Amino acid sequence: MNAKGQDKMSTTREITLGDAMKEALAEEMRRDEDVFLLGISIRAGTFLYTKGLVDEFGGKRVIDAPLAEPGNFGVAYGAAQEGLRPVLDWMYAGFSYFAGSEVFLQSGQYHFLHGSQHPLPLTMIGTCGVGRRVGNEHATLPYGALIHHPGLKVCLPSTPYDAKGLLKSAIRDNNPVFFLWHTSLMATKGHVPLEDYVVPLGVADVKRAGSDVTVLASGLQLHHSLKAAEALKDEISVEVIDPRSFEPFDLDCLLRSVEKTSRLVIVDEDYERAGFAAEVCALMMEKGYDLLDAPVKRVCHPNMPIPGGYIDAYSMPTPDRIEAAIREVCR
Amino acid sequence: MIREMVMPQLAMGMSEGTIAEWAVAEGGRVEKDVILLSIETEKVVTDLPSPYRGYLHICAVVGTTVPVEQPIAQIAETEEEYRQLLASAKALAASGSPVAGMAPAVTAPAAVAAPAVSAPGRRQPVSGLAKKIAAQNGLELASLAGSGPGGRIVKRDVLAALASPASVAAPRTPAKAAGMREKARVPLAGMRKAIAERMLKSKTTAAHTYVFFEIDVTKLVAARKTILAREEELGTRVSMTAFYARAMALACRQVPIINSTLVGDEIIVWENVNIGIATALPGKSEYESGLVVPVLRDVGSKGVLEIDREIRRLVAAARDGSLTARDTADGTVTLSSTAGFMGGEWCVSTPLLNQPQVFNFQPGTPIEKPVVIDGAIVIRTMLPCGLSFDHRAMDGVPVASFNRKIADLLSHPELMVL
Repeated sequence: MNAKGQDKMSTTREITLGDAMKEALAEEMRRDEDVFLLGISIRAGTFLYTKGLVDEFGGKRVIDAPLAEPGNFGVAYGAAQEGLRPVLDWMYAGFSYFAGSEVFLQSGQYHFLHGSQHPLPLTMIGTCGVGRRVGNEHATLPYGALIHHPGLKVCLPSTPYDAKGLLKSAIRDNNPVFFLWHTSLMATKGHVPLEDYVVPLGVADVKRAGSDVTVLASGLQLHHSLKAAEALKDEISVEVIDPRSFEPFDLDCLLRSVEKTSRLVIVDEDYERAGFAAEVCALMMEKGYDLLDAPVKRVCHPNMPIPGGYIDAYSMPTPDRIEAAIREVCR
Repeated sequence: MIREMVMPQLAMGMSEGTIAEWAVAEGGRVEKDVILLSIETEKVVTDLPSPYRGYLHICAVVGTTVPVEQPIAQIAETEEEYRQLLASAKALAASGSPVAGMAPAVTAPAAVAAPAVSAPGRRQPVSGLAKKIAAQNGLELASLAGSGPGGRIVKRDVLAALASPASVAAPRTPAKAAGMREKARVPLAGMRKAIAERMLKSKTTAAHTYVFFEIDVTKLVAARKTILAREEELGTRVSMTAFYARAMALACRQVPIINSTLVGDEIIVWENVNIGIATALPGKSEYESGLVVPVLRDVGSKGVLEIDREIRRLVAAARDGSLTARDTADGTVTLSSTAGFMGGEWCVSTPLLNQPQVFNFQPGTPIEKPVVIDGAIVIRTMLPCGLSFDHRAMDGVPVASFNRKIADLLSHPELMVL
């Protein structure tokens, strides 16, 4: 697979990440009549990837829900228990915290607490990400909190190709999967094949090959990291890896890369403390200590509320901050 | 990628294991979840599957004892990685393997040089990778200066040092006195190691006290002759050991403290008399010997014939390696006969206690010798006996009572039918 995420498939065209998600939803609904959508203002389409789906699939499969998150979750959760394949759209991923017990404790652990007898094919969609000046609960990236809780699969695409492939994998998965997407990437364009394909959960992608330092980044930060790598290309050869999913996490891909580069920078737009970047640091200490020639460096959102307004450009990881971190570990 | 396989901890008490067999040769292709080797612990041999797929580099050869969580092999994902691994392993081998029996493991912690100190009181920072490369090449980090942030020794420092030959440590060769020729090396592993540890612990923690005496077994030998004449009918050639066991059980009933165990601050006196029968095993080579102590359970309620059959079953199982965990568990007292050891000569020794037991009775070979009875010298068949008891658990009086009782029973075998 090359840096643009294309496979061997020949028939591709450029579409936006939002359109790629829409195609994934429509194709999976055509493929399996048990798949249905539930969420706030999804018929009109607050975000464009659900707009118009009601025309093809009707009101019974594209359901507008009230501003009542625990109740909406209950509908999806019960439907999944009964064998349907609901796709619950939280709009902003941070809104899933209104149904915290349901999302964090119940959905992931239901299957295990019931003796592995009952699968829970529930997909949740939510947007997140700093940089749109929308403030804390609209911007918060919940993957660190989500993967802390056993049983939930969590992914975040950085390209239209990955968005479509991951969303299809999520819907076909018999476990609860939280599909996150980055608000800033909705209009990002990229090649997407016409043919049916999936991107498996738990397989990372080397988005740029390099030999001096490994940068692990996802979502918008993947693009920031590619910019930093490009800016440094005459001095430092940077390998950029997109985990694509946080749980399951493709540690082997990362270890293979660090074996080559001996250095690691982890870029994580989430709050720094006890997040995904911290988890990867711990894994590196346990599994890759003697691959490293320098301490691992994190570039994260500082441990403070995500500010609304223009100031968020200063709190989030940026290409400049990533570039500085790369220079630091390569000293 | 090159990944490490470590000695697993198969049971709570397991602290090390010995490589019994590799199913795949050095450099061979291994498949995930397919049996790769057997390891031997104190009691059992276990087959282990490979955790990864790839090419095998063996770090611990057959016979090596490795602590749990320490590397026993490395598995390279590709052939190319295997060749690199082998090249660095050879470089390390040239500087002397750090652990006896251990082939070089590229990341073996034991191979890492002593903590490098550049100035008194200050720990020299070293990156994990630099440490690894130094270990692979037998380079002493203490001789290096670090060029990384904060004076950290990093990869480039190690590579630079390796490029200047003077800094490479001189090969370590084991000292051997002139004229000494080695015949064999026997690893202190598996059963040998278990025996070594238990015997040393017994010798150094119990208050061994030894008693030697003779028992007139003329009548017992005569009685046994009568029984042996019926061998065909009985289906077994009843051994002297069966009589000794029966007599011990009856004597223990009279002097219960003999049949006890000492653990911590407590002596537990047992109702069941479970007699451990010390059984010699042939060694794997002419330099080795072995010993197990299968347990004859509830001897007090069994007759001589039943005891004999049970001993034969246990000894056969011991020799063909089919003893179960239950067969060797719960002994309360030991019988370790040395009959035949000296080819029929008079002999006693000082037996070690099989802890937590506190008593070990050791009859020798019955021999005819002159003794004085009623003022006349007569020829009698005498059994030389040795025993040891733990003076922490009891004093001389109960032991004397036990000795009188067992001597009475073995001198007057008719009492044993009671």
